[in-house]
Amino acid sequence: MMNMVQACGVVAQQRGDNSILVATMGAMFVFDRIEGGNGAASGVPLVGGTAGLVIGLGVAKLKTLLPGGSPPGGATGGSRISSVPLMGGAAGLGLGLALAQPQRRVVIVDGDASLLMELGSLVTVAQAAPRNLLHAVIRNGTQFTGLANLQSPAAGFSFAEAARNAGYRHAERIDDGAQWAERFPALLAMEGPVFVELGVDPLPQRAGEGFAQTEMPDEQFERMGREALAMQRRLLAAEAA
Amino acid sequence: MSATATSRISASAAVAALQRNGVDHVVTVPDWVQLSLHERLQRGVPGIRLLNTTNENQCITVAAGLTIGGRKPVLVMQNQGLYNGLNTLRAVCLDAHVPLVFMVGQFGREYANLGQDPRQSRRTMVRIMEPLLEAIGVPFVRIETDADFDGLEDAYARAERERGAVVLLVGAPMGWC
Repeated sequence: MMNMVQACGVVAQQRGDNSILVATMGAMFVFDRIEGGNGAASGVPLVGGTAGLVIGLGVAKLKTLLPGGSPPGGATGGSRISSVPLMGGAAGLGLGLALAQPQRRVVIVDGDASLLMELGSLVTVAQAAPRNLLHAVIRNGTQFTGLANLQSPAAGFSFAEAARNAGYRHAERIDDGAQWAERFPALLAMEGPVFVELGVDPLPQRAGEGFAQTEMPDEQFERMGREALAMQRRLLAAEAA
Repeated sequence: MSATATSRISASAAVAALQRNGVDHVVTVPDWVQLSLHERLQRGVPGIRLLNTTNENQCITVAAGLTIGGRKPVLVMQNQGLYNGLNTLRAVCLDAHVPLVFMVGQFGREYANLGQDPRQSRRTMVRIMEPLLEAIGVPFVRIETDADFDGLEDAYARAERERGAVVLLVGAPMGWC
């Protein structure tokens, strides 16, 4: 299994400037931490295992502290939008963007529990058949990953098989981070809709006895609107140019 | 014997209004009240792509993606569908301020209530719609005749200006003309 930095880092490093990224909350937090100012997670090592996770996040953190380093979080530059707080919304949002912007590649980084809430969206996507859509799902088997790691109800369920049955042009599962990095350009270039189920280790659980839950910041409820507006303006400006 | 109603709303007027306003996508889970519109769209209307989704939450997110991407969708669903999509409406239109226009059929409205106040309907799904929209701060317009489709232009303008949702409540079955 790959770790979250590998899963998200491959997308950040390889998706390209012209693409659009739609992410659910778990992936959003990782993108926030690794992307940096240019959104490309440049220089962040994508190494497997828990050690690789720590190294990747550590390097990303170090980059923010260096002279000229960008602060982590929210620097989406109008090319990334987070479906938060809205479990299940990423596939529809990505589909709409893909249909509206057929000249751009749209990448969805979905969550397993999130996709389960709108499993019918696989059929909706397949019926609309956007050729420029790559739909990845982070399969880590947990909800509130990295916090309480509650089990998501999908044991034995194959998302890739479901996507294939729904009518995606191509679907596969990848568990290895190096293989994901190697396959990504081909998957992105394929005629879509393309689906990939990523076997990912859950982030280490932080909550336990004595843990105090902090208040959800306003940012969590406002960022989707800011990102939507920034993306809309960027895309409109590009069309006008 | 079942009641019938002579419709004062027509699919042709609805299609004309959509075309007049430059609507390029209809994102939908079909609605009994707007069946004739669905049938017309399914046969093909120049400039309008019909997108069927498997539930109304997807209608809202797909339409949001289209809007952010520079297109001009309308959402067509029935009142039950709007109830189903309430949390997505909250996220997309109330919190994220994506402007969207909905055409929502008042499915289940008894014909005895046509021409009367829908808040007096004996059917819950009809009666609670307007109070619900008021409670969540979503403006709405009643569509009871073809002339009411003139309000579509204002609906888009208001959705854009206020960065939120506007709902057209289609109050009676659309005629098949």
